[in-house]
Amino acid sequence: MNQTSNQPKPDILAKVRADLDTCEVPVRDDIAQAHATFLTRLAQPGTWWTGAERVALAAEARAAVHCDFCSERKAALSAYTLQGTHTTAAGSAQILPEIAIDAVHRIIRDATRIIPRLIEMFEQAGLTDGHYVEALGIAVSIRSLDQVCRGLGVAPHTLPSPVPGKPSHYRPQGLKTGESFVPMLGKSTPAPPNDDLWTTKNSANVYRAMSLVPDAVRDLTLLASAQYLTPDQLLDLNCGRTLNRAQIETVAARVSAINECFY
Amino acid sequence: MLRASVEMNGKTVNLRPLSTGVTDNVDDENIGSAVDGAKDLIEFTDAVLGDDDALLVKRRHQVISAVGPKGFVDAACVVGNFERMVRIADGAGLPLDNAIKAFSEDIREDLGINQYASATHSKKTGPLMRYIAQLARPLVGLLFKLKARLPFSIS
Repeated sequence: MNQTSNQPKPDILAKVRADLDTCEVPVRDDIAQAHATFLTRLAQPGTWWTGAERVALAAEARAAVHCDFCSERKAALSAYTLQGTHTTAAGSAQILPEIAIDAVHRIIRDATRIIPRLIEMFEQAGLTDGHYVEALGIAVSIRSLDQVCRGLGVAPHTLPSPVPGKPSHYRPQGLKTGESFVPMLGKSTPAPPNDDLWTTKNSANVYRAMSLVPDAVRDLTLLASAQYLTPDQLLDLNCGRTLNRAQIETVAARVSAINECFY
Repeated sequence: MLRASVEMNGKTVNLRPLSTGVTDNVDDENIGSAVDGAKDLIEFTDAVLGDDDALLVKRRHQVISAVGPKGFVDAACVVGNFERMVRIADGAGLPLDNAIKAFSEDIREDLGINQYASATHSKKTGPLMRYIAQLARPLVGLLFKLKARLPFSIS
């Protein structure tokens, strides 16, 4: 495991706070802390990608929002036959394999039509299912941060400068296949050093989904705990924030419906 | 989760405006009476996920009036959070958690959620499990709480 940063870099935190300070109402500081900690981790070498590649994946998640080819493909009957060129972030094509760019664009623009073949295409390109899961984690986290900022009416956070170093290629023990497109750890508390990911009583599939890359689960928990609820609060239906639980779940359900997400 | 959280407080909820996005009829008969500020929260969510920036400014002010500044911040954060959750589920081909699948069988059918492309990731709930879930639905809040306290998984 490489990502041990549980504290944001001071300069990143200062920038994130400055972004959130432009909101017309005060934004609680745990949001700034979580966003800045994620961006601090993003810059570091990950499990399968370098820091530069991770930041490029994040930039690509942003570029996908305005990609004309993605719009054309989303309207097409089949998501896997149309050929074309993505609108990419500056420099991404020099840093990232084409399949990684394509996957990030699909995750952002056409996620409901992702099929196991996409992960096979990763493997055919000499990458691994771990590369896919880490790219998925980065793409969705940046999307999450950006949508929070859009909702609040503030500019998206600046992406951090990458930290040099090599990815760890760490693969946890005890992975199981067959439940989803990617191998996942079981429902019970994972063995050390991943026993912090969840406990038997609060495991949810959405956390397990990223467990091929344990640090991606840690990112998920970090952001969800500030933006939604902690894993322990999830099962207590009386638990809310300023919004009560029913109000929170109204927003969550509407996001799922617009995205046509079954989950 | 929404239905369970509303029913725990002795209310019922019609979830149709959530699937259609039509908020004109949010009145005493459906989600509007069960969830304070539902109309404003739904319209704000739609605006964040849409591309009309001027409308988003309007919806932002609407939701601040409805649920207050802190509630607005919560709402923006939940939108962002679920923009991530749904893509993880779809990107990983994730099946629904067993307990949620059993308890939501009826509304998924009613709201057309079973027609979504990603529905194929989850196996259908068997008739016995569906029957048990139907009987246990009034206790769903308690069951979730129990699940959180047990040292083993019941899903």
